[in-house]
Amino acid sequence: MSKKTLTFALMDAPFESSRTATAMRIIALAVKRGHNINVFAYEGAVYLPFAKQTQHANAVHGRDAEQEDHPLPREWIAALMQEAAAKGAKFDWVNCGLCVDERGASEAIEGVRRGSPADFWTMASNSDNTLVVPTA
Amino acid sequence: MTRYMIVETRDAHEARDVAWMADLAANLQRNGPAAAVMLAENAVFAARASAIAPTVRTLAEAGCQVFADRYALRERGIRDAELAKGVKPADLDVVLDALETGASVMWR
Repeated sequence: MSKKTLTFALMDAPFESSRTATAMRIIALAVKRGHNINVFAYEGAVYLPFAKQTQHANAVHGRDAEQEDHPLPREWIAALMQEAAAKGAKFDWVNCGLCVDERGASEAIEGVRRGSPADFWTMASNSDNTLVVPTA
Repeated sequence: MTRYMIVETRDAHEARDVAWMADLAANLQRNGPAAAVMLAENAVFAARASAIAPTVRTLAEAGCQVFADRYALRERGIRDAELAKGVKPADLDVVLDALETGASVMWR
């Protein structure tokens, strides 16, 4: 399959819904296949690349933070950006600016840029296909 | 070639809307374009042969391809042998295949 450009719209906040993990699994597959990826994060999804996400201990499991090794979406995103770059593919993550301001979520990892729903329109218009992952 | 793919994530026993999804896919299939459904997350509960929900029967009778996400099946302890006739265990690659070939993919 030739290189495609695929756009994904995500809306769910991290640590809340299985659909975030499912969507990230599809995006990860697309990165592995070398496609160019656009992600437009809307509403609570702007917290997915939030730079201050921190691992924590889990008293129920009786583990400290290191043993618990709690997964952090910001690390998934950074890894996907790195893998895409290694494959010579584009990985563009745009956080909805209004959603960021509402939530005080401006501290995103490197590589995330601020935008608006107009960016989503542009991304989708210039993509081979688009998948919208709405809130549950 | 799949023209429409619906990714269903909700448990048919909790969300009545899943039946609507199955009707939509079945009608798309009957009216020409090939429709496929990927059952993911809690939607895989309806993939069991013992499930009371008619989701899979509706889809299979219409000739839709029905996939169940292997990852979601494993998470929920559902073995391939427990799946209803017509359900194929698959990885999410089938969703990406549909996106690559220009299918309209709807997430529910």
